[in-house]
Amino acid sequence: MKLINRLENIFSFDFFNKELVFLQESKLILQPEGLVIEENVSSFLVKNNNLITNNTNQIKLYFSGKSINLEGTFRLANGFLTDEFYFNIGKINKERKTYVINLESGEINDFTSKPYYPHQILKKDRAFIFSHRIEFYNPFSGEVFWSKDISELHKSTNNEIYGNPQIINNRLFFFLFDSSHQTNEHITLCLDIETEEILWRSESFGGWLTTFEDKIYAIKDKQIQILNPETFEVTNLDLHEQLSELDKQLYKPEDQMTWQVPFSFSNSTYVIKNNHLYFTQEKNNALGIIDLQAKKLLWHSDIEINSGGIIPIITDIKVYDTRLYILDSGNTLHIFEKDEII
Amino acid sequence: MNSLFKIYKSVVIVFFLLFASQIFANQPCWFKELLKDLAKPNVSQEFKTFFKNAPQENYDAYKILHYANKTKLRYNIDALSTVKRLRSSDEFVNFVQGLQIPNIKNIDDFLAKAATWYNKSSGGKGYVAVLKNMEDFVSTLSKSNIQCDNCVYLFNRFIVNDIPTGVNRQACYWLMEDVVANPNLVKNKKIIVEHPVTGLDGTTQRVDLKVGNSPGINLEYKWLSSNAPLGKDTFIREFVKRDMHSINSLDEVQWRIKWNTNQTNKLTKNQVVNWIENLDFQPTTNLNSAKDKMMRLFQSYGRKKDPSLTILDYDDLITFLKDNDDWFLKIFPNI
Repeated sequence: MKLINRLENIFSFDFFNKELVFLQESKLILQPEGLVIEENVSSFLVKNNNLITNNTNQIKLYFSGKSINLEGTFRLANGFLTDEFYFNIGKINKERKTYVINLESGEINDFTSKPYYPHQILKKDRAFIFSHRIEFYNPFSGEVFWSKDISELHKSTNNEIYGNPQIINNRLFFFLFDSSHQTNEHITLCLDIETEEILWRSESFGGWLTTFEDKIYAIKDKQIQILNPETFEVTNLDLHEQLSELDKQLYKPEDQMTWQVPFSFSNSTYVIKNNHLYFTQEKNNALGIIDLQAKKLLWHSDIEINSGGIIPIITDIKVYDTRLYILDSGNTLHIFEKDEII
Repeated sequence: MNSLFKIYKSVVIVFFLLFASQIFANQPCWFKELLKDLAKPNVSQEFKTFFKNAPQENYDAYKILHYANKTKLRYNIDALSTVKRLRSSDEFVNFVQGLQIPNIKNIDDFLAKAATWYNKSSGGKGYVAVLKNMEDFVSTLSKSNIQCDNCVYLFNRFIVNDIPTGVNRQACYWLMEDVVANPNLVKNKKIIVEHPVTGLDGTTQRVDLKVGNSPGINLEYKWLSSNAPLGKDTFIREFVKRDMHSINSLDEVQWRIKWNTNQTNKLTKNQVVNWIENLDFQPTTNLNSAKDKMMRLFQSYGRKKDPSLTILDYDDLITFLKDNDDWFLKIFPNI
């Protein structure tokens, strides 16, 4: 990989119409021409090539050559985009309402979600609440299809869900742990969404769950776990040997000693694409690529992070075409181009 | 008659010392000092008994404290007994020697050098308390099956100059004490004493202890032994800029703070809310990115109890913080 560009003051980035789009300070800019799509933007996201922007007064959707504005206070993180609809909850004149935008017609409807605004949406009228209980319900009518208390699913104290539950092919996967940290108990469960039956449980697989290419991944330290959600087959890859070259030693004169800095994967900031893991380091500045099939470290590098008083970490990673994009806590976007080897 | 006896006794002691000094002229200086100490009129009976028909280990303990050049300490029976006990503990000796502490040759060297620094800003804890704390810590690691990476830092702090104030040594003492008092927090887990990260702007950031991974918990240790409370700047630098950026969930951070004896410097929820409420968010500063992260983290946390919670803006966040206490007690459990 070759570093081909570094862009500064970038707060977030994504890809829209097959081009890099980023928020530079408060301007939303589309590359390569540097076209300013919108100014005074506080955040944006792209999903299924739909662009949504947000500022303190409104949310704006760009799709099929049109744009729709919703006046009010919104947070993009609360929004959901399905193939046909966009949902978000907004505050207008202190009144909270859920808005549903039909992406095909552009029609906007508001309603009061019952009994709460969903935490995750499966389809327009099928949603989830993940709290001390898991509830599968219709947010329009309030009809509850099923509801399960977490303590009923796993007998342990202080059980809570860690990370984001994953939904694949009508199966719900989530990881429970003892949030008081007084025991090391944890478990991953799989429920059939329609029948609410527990299909699978594992005390050995788990952590921060993420889905890539129809598989669920949990990575930490120098280990990768891959779950096939259809067969429940778990593949464990221990890469201690392959990644030992990423361990560092650091002499600190103020401590009068040499620190061992063992490499550890970030458990949430990584990408899997074509059986390659594009990883970043937890609380540090290393990144690299691993061929998961060959269990081989293909490439790694350290980036320089000027974070100005904020802990230097890698905050986002994306792979698009032949390029690897890395955003750091100093708001610098590092762009790498793949060479022939990888 | 009485005064004649006193003169006679003094003459005998002087002759005894002269005789002893001749006999032990070729003995090492620590032994000569021990003889002198034993002859001192104000030395305790316990001290004399410690050496009466005593095994070699008792003399070795004195020798270590003599080399430490701590005059009072070498008369201290607790100190002598503790040094003797630790030297004979395979668990402690193997652990400390296994740390490979820089410039420490062996356990005797460590025990002597720890005596040199123990009383400088370790919260008024004496040598015996410091060693006992280390002993209990090592024992807890073993009993609770805890792997400790970079533990050398905790022990090294007690033998090097802790520039500028000794607060790091205090934090290390408190960290070890807390692990001993709460073994379940670390049982069967790997704990990592984290190295400091120096940013390009020169500021140093780290959490003190990371326990487990995915989910792990970052523990920040502070021992505020004076009356000075936790400062706003420290809170913003370490909680907002460091912790909020580096965690995925509020379950992953805890500040374990030991307050002063009267607990007059305790942090209050109102203080924390006030600091968060009045953060200076400029649109172009790095601090701005912490704003959205805080809203996300507190919303996720709050929804575990109240599924209806939706934080839409900073006002909603502040309302949540003001209306609830459990987040504060979770992050600052020693309140």
